[in-house]
Amino acid sequence: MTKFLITPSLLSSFAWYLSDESKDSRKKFLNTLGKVKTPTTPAQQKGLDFEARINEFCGQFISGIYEYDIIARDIANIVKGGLWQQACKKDLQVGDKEFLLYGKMDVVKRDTIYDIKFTSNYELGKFLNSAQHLIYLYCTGLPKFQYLISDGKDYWIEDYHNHADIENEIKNKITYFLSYLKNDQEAKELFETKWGAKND
Amino acid sequence: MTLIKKPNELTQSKIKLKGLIYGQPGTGKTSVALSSPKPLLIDFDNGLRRVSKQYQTDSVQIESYQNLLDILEKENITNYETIVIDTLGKMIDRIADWLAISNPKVKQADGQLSMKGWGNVKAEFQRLLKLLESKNKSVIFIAHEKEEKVGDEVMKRPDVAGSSGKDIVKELDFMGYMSIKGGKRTIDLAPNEAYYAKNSLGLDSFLEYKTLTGINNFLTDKIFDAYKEKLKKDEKLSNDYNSLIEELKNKINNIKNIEELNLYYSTVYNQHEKFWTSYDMEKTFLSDKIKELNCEFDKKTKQFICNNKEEVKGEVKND
Repeated sequence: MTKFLITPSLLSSFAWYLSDESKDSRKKFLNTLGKVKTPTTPAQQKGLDFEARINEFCGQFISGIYEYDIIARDIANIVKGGLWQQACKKDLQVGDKEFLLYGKMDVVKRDTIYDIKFTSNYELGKFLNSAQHLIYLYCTGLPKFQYLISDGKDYWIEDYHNHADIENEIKNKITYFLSYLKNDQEAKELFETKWGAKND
Repeated sequence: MTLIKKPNELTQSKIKLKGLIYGQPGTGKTSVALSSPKPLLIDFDNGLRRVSKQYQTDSVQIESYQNLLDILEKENITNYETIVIDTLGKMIDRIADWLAISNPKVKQADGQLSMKGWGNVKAEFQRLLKLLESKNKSVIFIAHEKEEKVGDEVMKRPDVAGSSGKDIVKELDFMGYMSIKGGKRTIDLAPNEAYYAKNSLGLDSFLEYKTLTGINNFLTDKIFDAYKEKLKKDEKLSNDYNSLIEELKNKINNIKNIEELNLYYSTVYNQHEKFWTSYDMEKTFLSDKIKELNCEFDKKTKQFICNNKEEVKGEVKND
């Protein structure tokens, strides 16, 4: 039986597509399903630069001055000593289908997984429905997950904890995704051809 | 006497926390807040009259934010461990009024806080928390709830003027949503789709506030004492983790040659009971050692081999 890969970015892209009715959101969703490489947007680049700067502050060599250095240094103080870009994976059976949950964590340190977010419009609970903390907590078995969210001027933390029902929460998200695919042939074919776990 | 504390001394001292309880009127928020250790109620909302007589505590009726500052800075409050502020929304309004006396621009023509005004309120709120911290006080805020649309969903949040609450919540250790379900009063510290909450302390998130018959010590027991116990457990876990990591580091540091490296990989690597990130740390230590010995992994033999090239590709994969 084919095992399919499920990543937080796939489920995020699906959730974003459902919540955003613009034509662009379907294109983005199909690009994710088709694993189409798209140019990095300015907003994505800002996030990548911010994360890279935090990484730099965690090391020994810091070059030049960056716009958001004060906050980057504060966040670096939280994640310093952690391991960057560690992969995590775990098998999960949903109904009669087998899946491989997979992700790369920004930073993992002692008992906590950290994910660094850069956003211009943070509101409380923004990441509550994200699959990211569920999948990473489930794959690693670690007790804590923190989103470190910044707009460059300030930062906020959203805490999530591992709990007994986390497997069911992931299963519900995957079940919802699969039930959607039944009615979207184009998306279903892309998923079945591009997301076989052996391809990765 | 030294001010420097060892980690184990932290768990022996009194726990100072910053929390918020919010929900609909009549759920018993003030009674719950007054179950904190040795509370003093700062009553912006005339809330004490709604608390059963037997659970009423010392309180101060507050007319202005300056009243609160005077109490904190001039009155003798050494006997109180927790300052309960009822309500947070009213206090924020009074801070805005207080700031507007010296700078009317903090408010717009319609009386609402301007963007700059909210920035000033936020700064004053942070200063107040620091003042309470310097006086070694815990603080529990009480707030009403408000509903906000998030996408297609409606989410409950604390009712605080001029802000979505993110800057307030940032400063808190916990925030619980209080409601009555099936006749039971409950407080949930875990956020969900219906309401926002916060549990930085990592405590059991769902608490039932049972009808009181004796001492009103619910928060003291379920939050303050529970957190103290958790800190003790965390401290032991942390020490055990440090010992394991140190042991792994030393073992790998002592590997001197390729034979010892292969022996370690085949008999020791990933064999200990996984503890938090111990496998990842072991992998990192071993990768550094592989580079040091200028070796690489041969997937066919599943052994490391010497590498005479200057370029090193050492990398170990977790199974």
